[in-house]
Amino acid sequence: MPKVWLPSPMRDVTGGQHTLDIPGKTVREVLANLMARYPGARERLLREDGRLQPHLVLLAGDVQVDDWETPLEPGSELVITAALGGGCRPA
Amino acid sequence: MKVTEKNGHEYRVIGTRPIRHDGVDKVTGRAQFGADVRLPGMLYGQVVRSPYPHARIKSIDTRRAQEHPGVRAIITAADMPALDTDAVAELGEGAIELKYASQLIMARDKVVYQGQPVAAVAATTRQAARDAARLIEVEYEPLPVVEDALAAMDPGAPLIHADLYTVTPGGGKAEQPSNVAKHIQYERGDLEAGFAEADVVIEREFRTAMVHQGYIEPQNATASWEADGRLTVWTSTQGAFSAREQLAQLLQIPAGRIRVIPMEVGGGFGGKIQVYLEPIAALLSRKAGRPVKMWMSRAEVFTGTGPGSPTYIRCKLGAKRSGALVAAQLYMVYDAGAFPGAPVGAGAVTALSPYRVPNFRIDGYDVVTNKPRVQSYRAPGAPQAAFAVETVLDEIAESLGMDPVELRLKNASAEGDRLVYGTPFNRIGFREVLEAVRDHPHYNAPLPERRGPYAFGRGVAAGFWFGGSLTSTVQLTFNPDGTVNLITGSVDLSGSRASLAMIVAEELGLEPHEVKPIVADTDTVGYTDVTGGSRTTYATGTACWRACQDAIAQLKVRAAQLLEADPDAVTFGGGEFWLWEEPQYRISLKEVVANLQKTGGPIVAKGIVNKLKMAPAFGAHIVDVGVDLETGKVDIVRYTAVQDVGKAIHPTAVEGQLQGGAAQGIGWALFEGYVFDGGVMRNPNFLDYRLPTALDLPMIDTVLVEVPASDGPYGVRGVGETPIVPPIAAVANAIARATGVRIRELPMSPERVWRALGGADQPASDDQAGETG
Repeated sequence: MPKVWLPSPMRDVTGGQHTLDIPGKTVREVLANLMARYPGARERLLREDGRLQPHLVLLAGDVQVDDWETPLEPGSELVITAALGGGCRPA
Repeated sequence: MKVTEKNGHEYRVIGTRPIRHDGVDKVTGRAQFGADVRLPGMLYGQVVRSPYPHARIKSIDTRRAQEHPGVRAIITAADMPALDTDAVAELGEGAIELKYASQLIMARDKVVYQGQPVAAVAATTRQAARDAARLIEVEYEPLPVVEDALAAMDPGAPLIHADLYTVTPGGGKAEQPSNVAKHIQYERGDLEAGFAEADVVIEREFRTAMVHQGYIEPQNATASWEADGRLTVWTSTQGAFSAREQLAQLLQIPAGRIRVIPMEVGGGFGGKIQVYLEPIAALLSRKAGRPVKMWMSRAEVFTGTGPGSPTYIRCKLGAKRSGALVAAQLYMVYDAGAFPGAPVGAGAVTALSPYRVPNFRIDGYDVVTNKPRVQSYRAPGAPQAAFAVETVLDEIAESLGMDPVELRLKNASAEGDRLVYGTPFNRIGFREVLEAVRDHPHYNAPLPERRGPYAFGRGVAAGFWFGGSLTSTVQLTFNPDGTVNLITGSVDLSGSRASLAMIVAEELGLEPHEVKPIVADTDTVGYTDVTGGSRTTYATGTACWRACQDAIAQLKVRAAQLLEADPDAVTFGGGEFWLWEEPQYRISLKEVVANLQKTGGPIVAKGIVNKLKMAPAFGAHIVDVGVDLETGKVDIVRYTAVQDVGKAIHPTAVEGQLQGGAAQGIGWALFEGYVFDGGVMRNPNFLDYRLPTALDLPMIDTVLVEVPASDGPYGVRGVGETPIVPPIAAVANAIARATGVRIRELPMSPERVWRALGGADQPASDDQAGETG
């Protein structure tokens, strides 16, 4: 199953883990399963309208993912990290 | 001429050094810059700027200015849409919240930096506009000024924005407002255990100055708002589409009504992505009903645009006796100026990712102060971070008695090692770069003996930049004589026309001069992101390569008609189409193009890129300095810049990038810095803000290491940003080797070096610190 790399500040909701093996065949499925397993993760990752928090980005490998239907192969990696491009982006 | 690669590839055009396509126009003065725009009935605009770094605007009285006979329009924030929204304006390289971007154009209720616009005038002459601007009376109520980022973080510091709450990506949002916009954090392993395991631990503090990109051409814009609502803007920008999107959002008009025409650019380095004058010229034009042209003075450029971020960094590294790094901790405060958006994220990622460190923690803070809001400046955030890490690494090497290059080689990241946020590097050439430094004659040459007060030292340092992709569009059209028009949305900052044309020439079997590169406006070509982030030759070059494949596929069908064969039987190479099985039947691309009208009409080929893999470029620099121990003056005696460039399309252009980046980095190291007094800049001119000149620099030698990137054609990597990353630390390390004294605050001006050498009893005061030699 895909491995998810989390932003360090999320470790308090994942029991200290910054990498997790989360099942799912697409980015959307992996995120949904992650949030189902760790309920506190939802508000860290998503805005109220369900979109990704604006100060975060998703990377499949080293390519930014905007389409959550992007397939993730078993053994692939999904990285959730802070957006690098300047700009305070309010929640 | 053919260039033969070590891997056996032969290129006919790639790797050669043709004359730049824009060269003749630029050296003969025919190239059209923003200053050359002249339109019938054109007015001239002038901005009224705040003299205060922090003040409430009590009133703006424009009545006396309105009575000036030359005045045709006056605007204030009341003429701009109020954008109290959380929407973010993406700048391609960086981002800014729209409500803050709007206040960079025109202050609304209060000013938060000296030089912030509060009103603007359009008049029949430049002088009339200036005279009328002086007649606008603005009443201010000065507020306490927060000049220093560390002081701004104090819980008792005056708040610059009452609605700013610290955001921690992946964490939460603070409940109390503060001047800290963002706190980013990267952590791995067990920090405490890592430092406990170390045989040597060194912790140091570093401070860098606010520095300007120093482009020679000031910001300028001419706008014509037509009666039917269409807006045309001629401007000096790194990205016409980015400028269009910003205008659409700031003015709340559809992007399709705006045409941005990018003029030639006299330098940008990241500073010409954010719009400043464009919306003001547009609003003045709408109000006056005539075109309006504006440009900044040098003082306006310094105070009214976006320099590079000043920083405070505390860096602690731990290593085993073998040299293996085992722990690292970084506390990084990046000053954003008046609105959030300092490049602390890139600083944090570039700081440690070059090395394998099993245990680390990085805390980075984006902090607002009453100074100009920073913008991208060539590898934004990375030179500051490298100054800290590469200096402490040098101290570790010294304390372990190791060669500093060997220390770096021992710890250097390679393919598969992870950046601090978890993504693994694809193919990178850091080790190859360090090996090239280790084996270079410069690194192994003896240093000059001490001569009188002059002591000599050699320093090395390394660094990298990501090499991004973003979006590029390229179109190819064909002329009857077989030449090709290459239409790109990538603004040419540094000779990219030539590199892109060479890719097309290589693929289509043409000579570089048979490809005519055209930088198009926003109505003419598909969306293309900014020229920035070292992406143009990589991403737009890939779009060129794809457009060529599209063209070849289309032309193959036409060639098949002319050869009376099935298209599947036709192949292409070296500028000719021929039949697979009967190679004696062949026809040149030029002949096919000459017969397009007879075989179905013209063709248009396109190439689009919007996602490529990261193509990181690593560099390492060697510098010899001579330090006058009596005056503190530092001379650069010899300099060599080594970089993995993937594949140099036009080696002269690539070498120029390495030399230019090194020169700018030397400027940061030795000369440059804003000098503030209560938030007011005291040196907004090129006499008191000292850029390095040819007299300050030796010939900068370059070594191009070619480790192909994982993606894109030919293995090319972007090269523009990396060369500004190592120089500061390299110079600081060289000064330390020459004098035995470490200087950890920029610029390392003669006064600062002299004081560090014991030249005075008192340390430099704040306002002396930035004075240049």
